[in-house]
Amino acid sequence: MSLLERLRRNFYRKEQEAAITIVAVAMTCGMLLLMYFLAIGATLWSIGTFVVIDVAGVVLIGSVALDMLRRVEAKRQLASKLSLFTNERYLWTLLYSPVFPPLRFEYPPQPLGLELPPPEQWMELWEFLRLDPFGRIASQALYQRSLQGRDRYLTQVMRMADRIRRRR
Amino acid sequence: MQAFLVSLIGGCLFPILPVLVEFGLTNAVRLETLAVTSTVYAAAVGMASRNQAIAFSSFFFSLICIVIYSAETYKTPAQEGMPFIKYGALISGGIMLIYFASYVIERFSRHYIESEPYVEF
Repeated sequence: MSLLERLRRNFYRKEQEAAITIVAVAMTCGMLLLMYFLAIGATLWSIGTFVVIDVAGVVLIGSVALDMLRRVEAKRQLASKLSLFTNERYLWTLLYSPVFPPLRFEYPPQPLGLELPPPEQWMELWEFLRLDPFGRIASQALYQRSLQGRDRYLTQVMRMADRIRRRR
Repeated sequence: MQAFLVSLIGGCLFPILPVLVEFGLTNAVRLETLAVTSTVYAAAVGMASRNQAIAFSSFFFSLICIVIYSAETYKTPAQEGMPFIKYGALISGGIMLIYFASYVIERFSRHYIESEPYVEF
């Protein structure tokens, strides 16, 4: 891959990270605004302790909710990347092959003599799972400790990918 | 969805059992019980969480609940008006509710969105 291409991809990654930061900042500002109004309301009705609980609670709940939104977005983006692959069996074997830990390879290995996907698609998936902030969240779920969980997650993502493919 | 529901039963209903039992038997909940349950509940949710904000804040709020418990247990009649005693029930209950909500949202993303099993057998 040329230096220019690498720079372009790196820039794209930074852009994605910036998008996440903007969402996080917007959500924090929204929560602060909400707390401000709650504080005013609480002062009007003179229930001071409620404000203390609100200040701590809304921030915590908001941070978990933001995390949930990121996971949904990561799943959606992974599905859109997988929708480009036509050879599902290859993908399934490769992603869960103990012989070929797939994220170590920039270029697709060939297990069990299966047909290879085009290198660009593989590269895109590889970069997404290794470098993209959403991709890293998706790869955590994709390579979770439980094999049963991995299977279910990939099945769901494949179903979403199918839907995306049909819409195209 | 099944794992999510099981995690709600295991992580939300079982920990509040002492409070429910006391309420069922005496028609009231003492502040000590509420504070101790909140202490354990906040710490347990924090330790089981993958979210750093929840994990670290839980220890802080657990300590607050311990202080409320100590204040309620060793108070003298002159100390009745102390904020931690006066608002102790509200603070402990609020902490429980906040961690309850965080737990539900986090478990939804882990068990429903990411298909992580609660227990495998």
